Amino acid sequence: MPDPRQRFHDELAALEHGILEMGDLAATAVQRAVHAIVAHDVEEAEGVVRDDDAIDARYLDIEERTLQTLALQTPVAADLRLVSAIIHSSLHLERIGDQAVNVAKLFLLSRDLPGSDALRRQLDEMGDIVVSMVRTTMEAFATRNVELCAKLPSMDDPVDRLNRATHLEALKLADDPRALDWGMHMNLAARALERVGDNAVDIAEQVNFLVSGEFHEFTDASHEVDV
Amino acid sequence: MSKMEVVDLNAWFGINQVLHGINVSAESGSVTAIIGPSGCGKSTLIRCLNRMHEEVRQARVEGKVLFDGVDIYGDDIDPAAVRRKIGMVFQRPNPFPTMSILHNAVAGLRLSDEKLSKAQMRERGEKALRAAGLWDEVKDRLDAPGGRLSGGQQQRLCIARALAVEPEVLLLDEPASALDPVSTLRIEELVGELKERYTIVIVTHNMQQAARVSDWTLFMLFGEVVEFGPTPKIFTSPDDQRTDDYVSGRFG
Repeated sequence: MPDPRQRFHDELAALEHGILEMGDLAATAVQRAVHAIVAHDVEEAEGVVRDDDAIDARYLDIEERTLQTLALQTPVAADLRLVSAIIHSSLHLERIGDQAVNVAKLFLLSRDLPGSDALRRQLDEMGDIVVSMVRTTMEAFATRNVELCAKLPSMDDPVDRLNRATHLEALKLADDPRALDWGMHMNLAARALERVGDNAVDIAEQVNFLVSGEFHEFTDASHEVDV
Repeated sequence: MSKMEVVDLNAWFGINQVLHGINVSAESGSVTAIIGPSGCGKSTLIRCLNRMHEEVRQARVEGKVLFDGVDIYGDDIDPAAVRRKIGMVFQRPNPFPTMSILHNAVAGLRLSDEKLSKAQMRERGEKALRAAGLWDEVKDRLDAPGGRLSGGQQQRLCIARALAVEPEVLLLDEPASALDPVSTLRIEELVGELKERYTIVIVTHNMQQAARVSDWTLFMLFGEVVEFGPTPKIFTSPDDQRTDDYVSGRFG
């Protein structure tokens, strides 16, 4: 039977396509920002800051179109859950883009200071994990895969550990005020990456709701004891 | 105990079976919406709830419809008594066009064997018109003919007429489908007010109306119940894919 709401469902498919593209842009931005630190690549960092406009533009476009869809098409059931997941995910992805910009700017601010290879390795590792988290959660979205969503919280565990480890590594630079200054900047970068991981988990929660119809938080910050 | 409970209900028009093994209940103080595409049996089901179905030639019912635990299809039950307890309002407003507004409101009372004085009639009429949210609009012209009211007012007059005989259950068969949007919203608002005192079952083609007014939703297809559950669940996370497809307009 032909779909009596073909245009509406085409629009939903287009919005979802937009979210998946936004996910790719946001993951790539984080990857480039971390690479800028590791490779001391000023041009790359400046590129991340510049290219964030594209992520923001997509966010605004998706926001406007989802609101229109709610107002004009009153989606329900699976359609409603998809619109809800798209609205939430686009905000999380926009934040991820902002965190990539933060990381890039922290590098640019501290680029002339002496640094530590050990801390750079930690950030590199964090970056690999959180980028993979963003890509995994977007793959779960595209394939409606709740098993994949359920993997996100355990992927996030080493990120939290590494975030704390960068703090200790920065303290080792205390003898040299300029190196310590760099370390404090990198500590903030680690914090930004840790937030990217949290955003990826939040998107996975949305995907889980989209597929199963049941919303539950994978992690509850108010009950975390090991911070 | 549910106010109304349908148990293994089957219904036919001649040799055509239109309801198959329906099980559903309606709770006091709640609105239950019946939705489904044309021909799915929702109007037949609501007409079985006050024994209107059997008024059609060659129509037949098997199974039970319990009202406060008593089967309304029991041997010693008077259908007219059932219909006083379980009132009905239809799709097209059908007041008696030349009868006065007040007399329309109490028409059911006058037909029943209750002996009431003029003053009592007037009092019961006012009570019903107030309950139907029509009193303020008609109190200065109670002697005007019912046919002179707008469509939305006529429908509320029919609701007043149904309420005047003091039923416990109100069955609404697409009560707003012939009305303009504002009159429709007034009927929906009224349903929300009435549910505190009456058990309400409403058949509607308008899914957003079902979502707005009901606490429970029953989705039917080909004379069978596909899904019955709390309305918020039916419209956000239904269990059955066919429910999802129907409420989101993928077929219908």
